[in-house]
Amino acid sequence: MKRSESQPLSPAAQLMAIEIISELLVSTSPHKLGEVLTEHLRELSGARTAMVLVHRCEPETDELLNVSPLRRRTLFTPAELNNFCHEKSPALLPFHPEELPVNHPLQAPLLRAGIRSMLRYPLRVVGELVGLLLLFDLPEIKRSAEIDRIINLLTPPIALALKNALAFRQIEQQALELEKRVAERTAELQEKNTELERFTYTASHDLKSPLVTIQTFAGMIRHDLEAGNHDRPLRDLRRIEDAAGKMNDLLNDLLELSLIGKQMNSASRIDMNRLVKETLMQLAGIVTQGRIEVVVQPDIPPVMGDRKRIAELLQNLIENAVKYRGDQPASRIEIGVRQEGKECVFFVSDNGKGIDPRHHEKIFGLFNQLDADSEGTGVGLALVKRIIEAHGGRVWVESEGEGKGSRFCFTIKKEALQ
Amino acid sequence: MNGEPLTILLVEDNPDHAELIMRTMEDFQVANTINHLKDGQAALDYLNGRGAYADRKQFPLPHLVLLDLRLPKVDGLDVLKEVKTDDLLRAIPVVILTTSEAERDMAMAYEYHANSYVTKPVNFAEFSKLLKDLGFYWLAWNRHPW
Repeated sequence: MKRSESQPLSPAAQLMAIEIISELLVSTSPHKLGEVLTEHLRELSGARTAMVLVHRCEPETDELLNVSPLRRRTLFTPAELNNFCHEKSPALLPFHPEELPVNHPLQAPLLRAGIRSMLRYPLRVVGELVGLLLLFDLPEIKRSAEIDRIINLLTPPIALALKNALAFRQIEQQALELEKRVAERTAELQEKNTELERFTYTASHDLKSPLVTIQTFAGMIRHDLEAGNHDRPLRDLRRIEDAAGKMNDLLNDLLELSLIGKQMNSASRIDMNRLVKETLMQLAGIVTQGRIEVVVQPDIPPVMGDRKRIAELLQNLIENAVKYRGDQPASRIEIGVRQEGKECVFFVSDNGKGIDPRHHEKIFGLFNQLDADSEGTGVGLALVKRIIEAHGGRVWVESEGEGKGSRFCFTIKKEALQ
Repeated sequence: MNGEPLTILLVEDNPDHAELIMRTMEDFQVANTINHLKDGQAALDYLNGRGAYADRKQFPLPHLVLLDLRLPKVDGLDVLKEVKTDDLLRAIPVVILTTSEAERDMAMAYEYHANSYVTKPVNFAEFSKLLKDLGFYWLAWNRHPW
């Protein structure tokens, strides 16, 4: 385009240029800026459509910032818009689209959109490409020289304003992101804190329980012996021994529980078929004693995780299935996996006592035992839950109710622990 | 006391503690019957005369409930809450008998209108003294509503 430098700009054009620059000074949001720019430039140039694109280095695509009028924003597809980039079409674009070289990627879209004339301006700040200004369907070529001159004068401040607005937007986004992260962290810490409080509370309560038994029964034995009663003390001594044993179990389990998440072994590929087999071998005693049929699904897929902990988890789930098998003649435990979407859901299911749906959440809480007569410390499922959480997975129980058997399911997130 | 049989409902999941409480209560002969239940659900079924506890002759409304807090199935505080919001049951004195000294438990128990809150002493002499006092106070001294 030939420039007619000598001819002064018309007063109307000068006024519009001033208007645009003053708008640039007050617009901080890129979209607001795009809106103002496209509208004014369309007015100034007399073009039917004005577009501002933002250049993005990665991936190398341009974001359509604004189109005036708005209803023409779908004039081109994003892929077509990309072809207006200087990287894609470095050569000077002709004023009339029909002058484009044959097979130029822009030819078809321009023809489809019925574009008769166009101007393209790169928006650069010290050589760096910030965006692109496109004007379509301009008035007759005689006026376009003046338009071209004024827009060339305007592109440096426009580019600068656009760059500032984009930087501002980025900072705002970063601030938002940081704010979000702080909120997430705070929530996480709060949850940890509550969990710790609950832990201390339940631990102190449940540790005190056997202590009460030991102390009071010791006193009662003394009382009985002094009174010459020798029958009860022998039975009561057993209670004391059991309570002390239970306290020992509790302390061990609590220690174990507190270590999960802190002391984890590095993740390795775990052959689940083998691990299930090994765990079953360890539990062979109680399984045979309970005359339980165990069915293991073949080809359980491997997982990534802490092998020792996953073994512990399986052991707990299988032990529970044995412990709560109920008093039916044909106990059966099934270990396997099912596919749910992209997720592998591992399960240990039994046809035993089952669990009322009201208690499905509660059973994973520390010391929450459903049956007052059951042996154990009430730590097992809390341990299972912790192990799964440390592996980024979920654990839950499926059971239709008492007497209906239960199925403990868990998932393991593959990339956890790596 | 007017010769009417006195019943205590003991809700306690720890079998040793239950044994201790029942033995002591029997030694002092404060109640005629102690019905012992091991979880909160059974306690609610009993008090509401539901299911296995439908026969009020065999399972009469108690004159005193001794309620532990951490219970299987339904927690002690939930049992208390349900009892104290029930028009019929709320008159029954409920004494919380627990190992928990947590302030939150105590505050919640009173919030739900527990009649008393006592912690289990870690000492035989105190334990039996407490149960004796409790039994005499609530069953002999205290005038019950029916």
